[in-house]
Amino acid sequence: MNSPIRHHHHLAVSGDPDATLLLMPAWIEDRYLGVKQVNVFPGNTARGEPGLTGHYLLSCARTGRHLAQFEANELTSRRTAAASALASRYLSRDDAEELLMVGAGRMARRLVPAHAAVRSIKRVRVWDLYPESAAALVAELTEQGYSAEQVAADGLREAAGTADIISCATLSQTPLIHGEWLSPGTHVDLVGSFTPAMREADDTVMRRGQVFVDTRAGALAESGDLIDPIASGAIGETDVLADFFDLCAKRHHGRSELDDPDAAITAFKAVGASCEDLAAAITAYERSVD
Amino acid sequence: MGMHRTSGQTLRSSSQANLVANIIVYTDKHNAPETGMYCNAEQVAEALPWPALIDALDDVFTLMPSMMSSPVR
Repeated sequence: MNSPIRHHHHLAVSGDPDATLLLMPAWIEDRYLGVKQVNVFPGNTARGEPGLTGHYLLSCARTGRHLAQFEANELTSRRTAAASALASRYLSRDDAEELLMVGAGRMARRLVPAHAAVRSIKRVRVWDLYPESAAALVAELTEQGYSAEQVAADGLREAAGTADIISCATLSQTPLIHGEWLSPGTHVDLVGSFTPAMREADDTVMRRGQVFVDTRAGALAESGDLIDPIASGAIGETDVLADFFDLCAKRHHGRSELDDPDAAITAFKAVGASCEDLAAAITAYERSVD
Repeated sequence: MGMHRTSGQTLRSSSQANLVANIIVYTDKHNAPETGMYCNAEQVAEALPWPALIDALDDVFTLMPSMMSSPVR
């Protein structure tokens, strides 16, 4: 598996702000070669057109032959939610039943079923900065058979204190979850904060929590949820106990390896990796062809 | 089978009877037909049920000895 640095290019667009082209390749020698192309054209917004489009191209890594093309927004959303669920498999308590979803946007609609795929979620509570967004998601989840309820705008502290799993998927630039709110045994899943300027959890979450990441290189370089507490001295890089490579290869056994597995607070921070896109594309392709 | 045929050629038969994909047919420089597949957002979702996708991520990180380079979002 090879997952090289992404290409990041700027394009001049007449009469519009510059566009951005992101190319994210990954390949497995002799098997599959993939690249995700994401086009960010900010000027589209003023014309009522999507500002971001993307697709994923999958090819044969023995012949170079084109195999498949996938719409990339859904591919990315699903692999991101699946990564959170994978982390939950290793880090949340086996008996986790209550999920607090912070943020009620596109990702939330995928994170709830993804978490429910690995834990027996009995109750979903939803908080969003915009109560109408939370209400809309609660209605959808209820329709899908979940026991879901909206958390009042001023109820986040109480909801965080009772949740077994807190999943955050927001664009917040200030911490929403405070470590002092958390009960023993909580698992905190942090999906937003994919730039240094973004935060979802305060320093105390990281200080009280046992910290895990998807990839050390990515999370430590890109996420304000880690960059800021490290800069403030609340935690050090060595406080990141393990990443997916360690967890999946069983070099670290996740919650079960912690000193007090029932009471430990775990925090998982992900920023995504191109190998996840490739894994998703291969899965979709192989499930579609005999 | 929910396959959409955007050309006269069928890509596959499948035991995954509920999966849907659009078929792309094009010709190479010798005018030989080549086929590919296109999945829109809805089709991607259908093709990636959570257990299979979660296991696929588990597998890829198990197989990779370490991160080769900077990850991307």
